[in-house]
Amino acid sequence: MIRLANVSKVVTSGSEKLTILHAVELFIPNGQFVAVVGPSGSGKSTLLGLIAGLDAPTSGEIFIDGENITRMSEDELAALRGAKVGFIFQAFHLIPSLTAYENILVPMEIIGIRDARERAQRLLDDVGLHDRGHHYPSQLSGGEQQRVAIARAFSNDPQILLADEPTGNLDSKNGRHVFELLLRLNRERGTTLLLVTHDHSLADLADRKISLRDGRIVEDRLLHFRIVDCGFGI
Amino acid sequence: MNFVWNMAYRELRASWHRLLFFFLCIAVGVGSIVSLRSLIQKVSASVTSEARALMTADLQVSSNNQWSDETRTILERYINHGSVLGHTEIIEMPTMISAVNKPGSVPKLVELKAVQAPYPFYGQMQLAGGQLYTHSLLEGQGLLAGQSLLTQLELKVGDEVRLGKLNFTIRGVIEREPGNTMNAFSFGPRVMIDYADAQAAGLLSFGARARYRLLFKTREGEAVKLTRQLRRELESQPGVSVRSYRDSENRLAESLNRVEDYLSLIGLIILVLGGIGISSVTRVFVQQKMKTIAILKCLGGDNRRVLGAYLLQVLGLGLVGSLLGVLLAALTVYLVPRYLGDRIPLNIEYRLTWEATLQGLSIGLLISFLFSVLPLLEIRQIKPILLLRNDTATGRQRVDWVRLGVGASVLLALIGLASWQAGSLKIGGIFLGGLAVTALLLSLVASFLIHSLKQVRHIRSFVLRQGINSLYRPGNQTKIILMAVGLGAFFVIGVRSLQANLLDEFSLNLNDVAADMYLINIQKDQQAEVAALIKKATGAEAKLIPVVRARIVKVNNEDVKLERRRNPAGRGLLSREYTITYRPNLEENETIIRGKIWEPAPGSEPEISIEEALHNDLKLDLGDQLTFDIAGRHVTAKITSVRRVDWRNSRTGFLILFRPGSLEQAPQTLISAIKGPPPGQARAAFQRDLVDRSPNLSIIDVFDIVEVGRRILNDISLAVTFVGAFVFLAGVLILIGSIAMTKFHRLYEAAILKTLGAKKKLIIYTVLVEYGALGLLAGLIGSAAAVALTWTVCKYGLEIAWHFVPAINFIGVAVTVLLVTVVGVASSWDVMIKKPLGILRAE
Repeated sequence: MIRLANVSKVVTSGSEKLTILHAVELFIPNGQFVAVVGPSGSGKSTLLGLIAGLDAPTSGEIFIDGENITRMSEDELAALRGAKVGFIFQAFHLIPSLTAYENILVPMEIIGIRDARERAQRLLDDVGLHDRGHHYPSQLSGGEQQRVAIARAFSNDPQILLADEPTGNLDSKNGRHVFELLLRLNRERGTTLLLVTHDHSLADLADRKISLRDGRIVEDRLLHFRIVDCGFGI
Repeated sequence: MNFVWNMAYRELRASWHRLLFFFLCIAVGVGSIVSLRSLIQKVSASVTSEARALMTADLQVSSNNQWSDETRTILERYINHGSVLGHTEIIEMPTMISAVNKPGSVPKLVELKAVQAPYPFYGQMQLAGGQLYTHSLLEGQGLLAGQSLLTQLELKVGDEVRLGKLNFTIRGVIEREPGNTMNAFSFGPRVMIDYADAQAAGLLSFGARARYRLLFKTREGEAVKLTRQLRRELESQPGVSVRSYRDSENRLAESLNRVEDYLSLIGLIILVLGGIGISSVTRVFVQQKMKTIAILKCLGGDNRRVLGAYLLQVLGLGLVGSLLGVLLAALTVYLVPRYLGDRIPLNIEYRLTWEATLQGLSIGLLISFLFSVLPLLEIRQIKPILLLRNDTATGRQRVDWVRLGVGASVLLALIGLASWQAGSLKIGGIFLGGLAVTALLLSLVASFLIHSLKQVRHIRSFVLRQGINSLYRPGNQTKIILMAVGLGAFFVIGVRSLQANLLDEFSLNLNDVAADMYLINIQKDQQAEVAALIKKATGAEAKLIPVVRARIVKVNNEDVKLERRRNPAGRGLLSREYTITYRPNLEENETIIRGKIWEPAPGSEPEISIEEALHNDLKLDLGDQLTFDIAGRHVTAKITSVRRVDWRNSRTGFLILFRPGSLEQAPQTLISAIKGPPPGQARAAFQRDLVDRSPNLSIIDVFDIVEVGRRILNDISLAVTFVGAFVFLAGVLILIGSIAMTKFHRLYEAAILKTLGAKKKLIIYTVLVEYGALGLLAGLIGSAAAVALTWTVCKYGLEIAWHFVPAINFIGVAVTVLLVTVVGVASSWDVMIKKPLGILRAE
């Protein structure tokens, strides 16, 4: 589960101070699929980055499974991400010098999973790229690259999956395909999924939809009720 | 650990070609260290195993005079000593040789060696065509000579030559001779005859500059003991020295060690330069890998592991580079005997040594590590958030203690490395300090030039402006390239200018020197005849100067004790043999600085005037008394004046000058310094006449000496230029590496320009301007530094006139511009020809 307590983020741009997030309070139980929507610059990506520990909040605290990650060092955060968090980017961010198969292998090798190779191959099969494992990212289409990124995100069985506009760089057909894949894997594994998107039709498929504007949560709606693993009810 | 290895391997697989030059830098440096060290270690090994062959005996006694009766008695006793298995005598001397039946050929000064049988005790004489050496080849006026003499005099085996009063038949050509190690500095080619013939030919007349040697072959292990005994017994004999093969072995080994260490420093210069290149490439490499590193961190990679993966890549490349260097060294060592084998008088096993190979490999790895670790530390500053946002400006103002600590350790390690290579902490420190100061100066000049060039950025021409602007492209290693290529140009231009200045000094002096021919060893009874010949050939009245050879035996009536002298210059001045003269007056090139010159009339008491050097180094002054040994007779003289001799404007100069009255009856010869006829027929005929009439006299032709000097100078400057070329190569490699690293920027920029309507020609011109400017700046830096260096060395080191050599500087700068432009354009070729769409899409 994820908890944000009074989290703000201020950045300095030139001599100007810009508040990206205003004292955000948020609780997400395990297994929930949350869509985050809002116009550009509303703070969606920043929110995701803070939860992944990619950046530190200016004030407030963030808890993952009860652990306060705002006090962790860079290396502790990396270890946390390796163990619990998967991330999917709009720009895919595959490592260009590695093949598709090797890209999936990396997170498992970092934390030292024993049967990494078999799992990587299985994940490749799962995302429908069975025979393209030896291709480099530059040899794959956008949709294929994003499928590799999804396989990579799931490779070490994260509890939390953070997806930053995963279909934003894809045409609608490929986008739909990638989204369905994401959803299927998420359902199968019971992962908490935080999805940032512009696409309201996609957002409507989530359990819960949070709207951000100017760094504030302006709407928080439960769309579908599912039994999720949490200590107290929704 | 698995991750670190896998990641390093995969990344290398993808980007090794971009880092190609990285391991070439290492390879060149390691190659030079390993090959130099291996060769010298093999020479050392061979010196140790062939030390006896170098001396051709176990033990030698030598002197510049014929053995005195007393010495002879002692030596006789040892000849019959139980530990002595054999003995032989040798005489070595410079003398004149001329071809018989070849009118018009010039007599030559040769290094004569007269030997008895058996010779040599150790080592082997090698004659051309596999001819076997036996003493019978020499007996009955036979002669062996080096090929160079045959070439110079246009002779062949079977021809006759004249030495002294006798004719000799050439019976073979010497290819290699044991014990003749360093013949680069000898006056002439080697000639060998029988000992008895040397005496018969009258070559050993009084005053001949001969070295007499008695060689012993001893029982195994007895040489050192025997040397000690002999040394003690012969201590009182002036000018007699005793040496065992072990002494020369030690001395050689010591100087070889020093040579090895200095040469390794040259290898280290190349490596350090390569290191600078590595550091700049690593910096750009990390910048290019920023995204990958951020991804790895986002996927859970901590600093230790990510840093480890990249460090492993660098070390992997360092290892490959070092191995390549070893291969390069093996090739060099394989080629050396093919090109230089006959110049090396030893039987050397041409192979790499394990010691040198391991040293080279570890230095290569160490340099790769030391120079890449600081730029690699930047990896710690890369934040994974840059995958979401592009601002990377996160608080980096704090003092980075890790970085500072690592920097200090790197510096210490480099000092340690240089000291290890130089074999001394002091030299290592000086070396590194010197390198740092040079780098700093070059960097200042580079900064200044780069800054000045900024003014051109407002120029109207788009091509010029764009080309020069490119030098300021982010990530462009303009300054490093300028320094590296500039340093290479500096080496080459500097050495060539220095050589030109030295050669000019030589030839200048030859044109207006007072004398270009020295006649020595003229006997008193030949005086009139020689004077007449000189008068006939030169038209000038000949001046024959009487000389006496003497040795200082007492100072103020105290025996000379060399061991007490601390000052090595003083020790040399006391132990040497002096050529002294007597005359009533001063020469034009002499001035009195203390005391006053004697009255012209002969004095009743011996009086001398000493040169400034003796006054300074031996602390001799007016009133001091020196006792000389002149052919066994002791003469004590009082110092009454100190002179300064202007050696540069003199025909002759004497350190010790006697007042007439004391030496007239001493055994003496005459010398003459003359300006002979210009080189050609007349000069040859004159020299021939002299040698025919007075076979014992020697002619030292300054033209020949200058020729030898010129040859040595050429060899040295060729060697240094070679090293300079290596440095230059390292600079060019850095250039190529830097271009490869910033290629994407260039491709992108060119694509945009093309999209905006630029033609291919415009892009090519821009690239030409960029590298032309870069080459020009580097060339100017090198040329300026070379001017500074040669001026300093000429003025303070060599004390000769300095002059600017426009041709060398101009050619140096031009070649630098050309090379940098060609390399730059060639490496940027695809930037100019690629279609823009693909590139823009990829971005």
